[in-house]
This record gives sequence, structure tokens and C-alpha cells, in this order.
Amino acid sequence: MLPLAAELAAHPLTGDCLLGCAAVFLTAAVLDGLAPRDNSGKLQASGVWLLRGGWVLLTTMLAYQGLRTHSLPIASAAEVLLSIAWGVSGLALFLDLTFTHRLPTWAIAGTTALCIVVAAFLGVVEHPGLDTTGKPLIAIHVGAAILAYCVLGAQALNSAAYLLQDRALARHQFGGIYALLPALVPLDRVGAQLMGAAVWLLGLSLVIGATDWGQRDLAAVAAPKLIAALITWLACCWIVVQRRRQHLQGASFARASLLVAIPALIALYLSLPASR
Amino acid sequence: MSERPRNLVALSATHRTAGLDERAAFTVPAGGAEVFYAAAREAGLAEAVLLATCNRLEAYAVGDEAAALHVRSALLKATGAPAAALDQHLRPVPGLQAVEHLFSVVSGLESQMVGEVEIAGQVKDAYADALARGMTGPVLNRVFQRAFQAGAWARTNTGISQGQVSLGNIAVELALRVFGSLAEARVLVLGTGDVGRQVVQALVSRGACQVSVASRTFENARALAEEFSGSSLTLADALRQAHTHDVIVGCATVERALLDAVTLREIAGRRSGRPLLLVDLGVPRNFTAGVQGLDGTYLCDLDDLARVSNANLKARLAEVDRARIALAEKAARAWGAANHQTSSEA
Repeated sequence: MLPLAAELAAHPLTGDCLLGCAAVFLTAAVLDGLAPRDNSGKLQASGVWLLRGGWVLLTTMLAYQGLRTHSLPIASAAEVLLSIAWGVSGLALFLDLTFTHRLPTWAIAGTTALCIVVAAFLGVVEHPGLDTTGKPLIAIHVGAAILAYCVLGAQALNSAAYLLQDRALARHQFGGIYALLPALVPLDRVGAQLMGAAVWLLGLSLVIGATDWGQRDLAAVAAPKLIAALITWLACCWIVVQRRRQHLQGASFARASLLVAIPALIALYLSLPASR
Repeated sequence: MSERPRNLVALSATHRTAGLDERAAFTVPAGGAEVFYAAAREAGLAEAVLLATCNRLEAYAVGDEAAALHVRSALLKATGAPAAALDQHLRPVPGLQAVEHLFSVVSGLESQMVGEVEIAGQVKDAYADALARGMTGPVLNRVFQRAFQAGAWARTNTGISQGQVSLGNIAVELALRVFGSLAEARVLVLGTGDVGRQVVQALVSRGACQVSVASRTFENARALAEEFSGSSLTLADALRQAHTHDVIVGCATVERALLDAVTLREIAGRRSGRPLLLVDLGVPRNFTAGVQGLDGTYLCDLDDLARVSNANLKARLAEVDRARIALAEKAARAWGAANHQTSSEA
């Protein structure tokens, strides 16, 4: 064992660490929620910076866990949830910084905090990690799947924000929580890009997973989760095609994207180490 | 050595002291500012700033005991208004109260539409004009600069400018909630009256690049469009091309709706799911209600916008007292500093 890993092994990631990290995200969500009452914009800016800081903290914690166990932090349900939380908040930051498309900070930070709190209660139990020694493609399969579920999670939040804004405008409700939501057209545009990314990432993961499953003797990938993932992927493909043909636009696209979150959640659940 | 601080006085006639017709009598005509400053200089006023907007005629001056009389006389010359008419509405505000008043004016607390931001620009222009004419000095320089800082502070730290209150700006806010940016949105404004102008101005100031204006009188549409670098259409053409626009604002005076429910459904159907925002500011209605349930089509009328405006105005008014208290403290500090500076210089 390397000296650093030996040192780390003596100090596991505790529930208190996770709750502390969740508190940062929760504070970000609360600050952003209070933003409409603050004319200076400082609360909103503080919320965004806390989200960024929280993401860095979570990244450090996941890296720490990975170094401790010498594996990707996806060996237990808690670790998978932490990875999802990291992906969702990371994707939101990526969209914000790269495309200046800011998803509602309260929603992203709230979802991330929820994932971390659940992970803290589940406890970062150390299961034997997935052995990817000599199987780099399995690592790509896992990484692509995790990223795809993060993208689908972000798209679900994006779609929920779209539907809320659409409902507010249709019902002439212009204040309160609705004032926190981004505009419809950018939400729609980013939604289409996220859905396209999900198709590619999940497709890549599926191809590797299916091939691995085909080699039954050595298979690291189980059939039920493969089938659930396949259903999710087909649904995503159908949405992308319908959108290209201009048959699925605006609210219909957002509703369909939200529905895809159901098979995605099932596939994710079946992927959790606990369900194996 | 202690020299008595010089006398600061403000004379003010505003929408609070005079009605619309009465205010019309004491507007400052072109060249009026020149007359005012010449009279002020002649009367021996050390410093003076003239602020003339459509809702207020004010002058701030520093001079001897008779400064108020000199300012009044200069205002009479500048406006050409009858003395009796002006005296009826002019309110003298001395010393610290004048500073507090200026701070409130710059912050928009004294405006007809509480918290409006245009007044800050108007005061800055007035001050710059006086500065260019060499009519400002240690007192007014300090007081006006502190007033601009205080105005910015009040807008940032209190809710007096929170939310939009003018119909044009609220319509633009709605469009932004649908499209995010107006740079790529195609906007059609039907009607060229006051509301139409206000809407076009608000749209252009918030980044709309493709604004078309239509009116029954094509000349009016062309004039308004040219003023804001937009394009003009006849009413018939505009209605025929309505489906190519993302935002349609109706503010024309009509006997019956320009776009009925059937036409609106047809327009929405031809847009392949792209969102369409209809803002009806006309009385009677320009668009018939009945697009509810159409995906991506949103219709807001005058009542909706008025509701938003009232809610925002109410929120602003709730902040006025808090802003006044804070501004009074800042005004006292600025006045103290101005007095200290003039005493030191003396």
C-alpha cells in the first residue's frame, strides 16, 4: 500500500463529514430561495458561490474515498448517490460557466443536499469494489453510465423548471417561486442538448455492458439493469428523434423528458451495489 | 476661526404641489437654462443647479440670506411664468432639509412612480450642465456627489426600485421570462400611441433587435419605427405575418379585436411549437381571449400587467420609510461634511 493510501485508510469518510457537506449545499439552496427578497443580488451570488464551493468539497471527498479504497467511488449505494450528487451539481456548474445557462440554484443545491443526506444515513459502507483490473472498458462503462444518469437528472430538473415556468405564464402567476425560474427558451434549448448527451453516454455504456454481458462467463454486468437501461435509452432516442422532427416541442418535450426519469431511476436502482 | 456656513436653499415645484396643467405653465423652454444661470450669476449666487423635468422644477443654490429670493427671480426669468402662478407652487426648502430632499429626489422617492431610475440620470445631467457652466462649488459638488452615491445605495439596499411598474417594462419582463434574451426574438407592436411608444422604447432598451411596428396610419408606424431603428408594417401586412413573430404586443385603439381566437389558434399552429407571447394592452381588447390550453402560447392582458405593477408598487412603497430614514442619516453626514469643508476653506 502506498504511504498516502495507508494514511487515508485509517480515517474513513464519516456521516458527519457528509452532513457538513450537505449543510453547505442546503445553505446555498436557502440563500437562493431568499434571493427575490434581496435587491442587492448578494444572496443569489452567495448561493452560487456556495454551490461552487460545495462541489469542490464534494469532489475532494469523493477523491479521498477513491484513494482510500483504490477504486471508483461507486462500490456502495451511498457512494453511487454521492457520485450522482457530484455529477448533477457539476453539470449545473458546467452549464452555468460554459453556456451561461444557470439552472435554479435552489433546485440543484437542494437535490444535491438530499442525495448527500441520504448517503450519510445509508453510510459509506465499504463493499468490495468492482474489479476492473484488466478491464478498462468496464471502467468506461461505469463512468459513462454514471455521467448519463447525472445528465438525465439535470434534464429532469431542467424539465421541471420548464413546466413550472410554463404553468406560471399560462396561469398569469408572475411572482413568488416562479420569479426564480429561468426563461423557457434557454431551458428548452439546453434540454435538447442534455437529452442528446444522454443518448450518447448511455448508448456507449450500453454497448460495453451488453458486450460484457454477452461473455457470460466473465460478466460483470447484470441483465436486469441492462434491460432497464436499454428501455431508458430507447425512450431517450425516441424523444430526440421526435424533437428533430418537430413533433415534440416545448412543454411536451419537457413532460417526456421528465417521464424518462422513471426508467432511469429504475435502471439506476438496479445498478446500485445493494440491489445486486 | 469660525465662519458661518453659507446658505443652501432649494426651491421646488413638483407634481405634488401642482397639477399637470399648472406644471405646463412653468416648463423651462429651450435656452431657459442659459437665462437661469445668467440671472443667478448676476444676483451673486455662488453656486446654483437647475433641475427641470416634466414633473418638477427645482433649483438648488448657495448664497447669502436672500438666496431664495434670487433663485425665485432667476426661475421666473427662465420659465417666463407669471409670478403669481409660480409662487403658488414653489416651496422653499432650507439647509439640511434641502439636502435630504435632493437625496430623496435622486433615489426616486419623490417621483410620481416611486423608485423610477430615470430621475437619477436627469439630476446627473442637470448637475453636469451646472458644472460645465462653472456654477457649482464646494457645497453643491459635495452634496450632489453624495446624493448620487446615496441614490445608488438606496436602490441597491432597499426595495424602492424592486420590480417593474411601467406597462412597457412589465411587458418586456414577461418576454424575457419566455425568451431569456430579446436579441433573437421577433417582436411586433400593434399601435403607435403613448403605450406603444413606451413598449417599443422598453423593448429596444432591453436588447430587442427585430422590432416591427404597425398601425392603421402607416405614417405613424414608420415614424415610430424609424425613431427606434425598427421596421414598419401596415396593419394588414402585420396581421398576415403575425405567425412569424415571437412576441406580439397589442396596444391599438380598436372597435373589435384585431386577432380573434380562431386566428390566434391558427397562428399558434403555424409556429411548430415555438413559444408565442401575446401581450394585450388595448382597451377594448386587441386579442380575443381563448388561447388557454394551447401549448407554448401565452396571453396576458392589461389586468394581468396592472396586477403585477400594483404588487410591485406596493412592495416599493413599503420600503419608502426605511429608505427615508437611511437617506436622512446620509444627508446629515453629507451636510455636516459640506459645512466643515466650507468652514475649513474659509
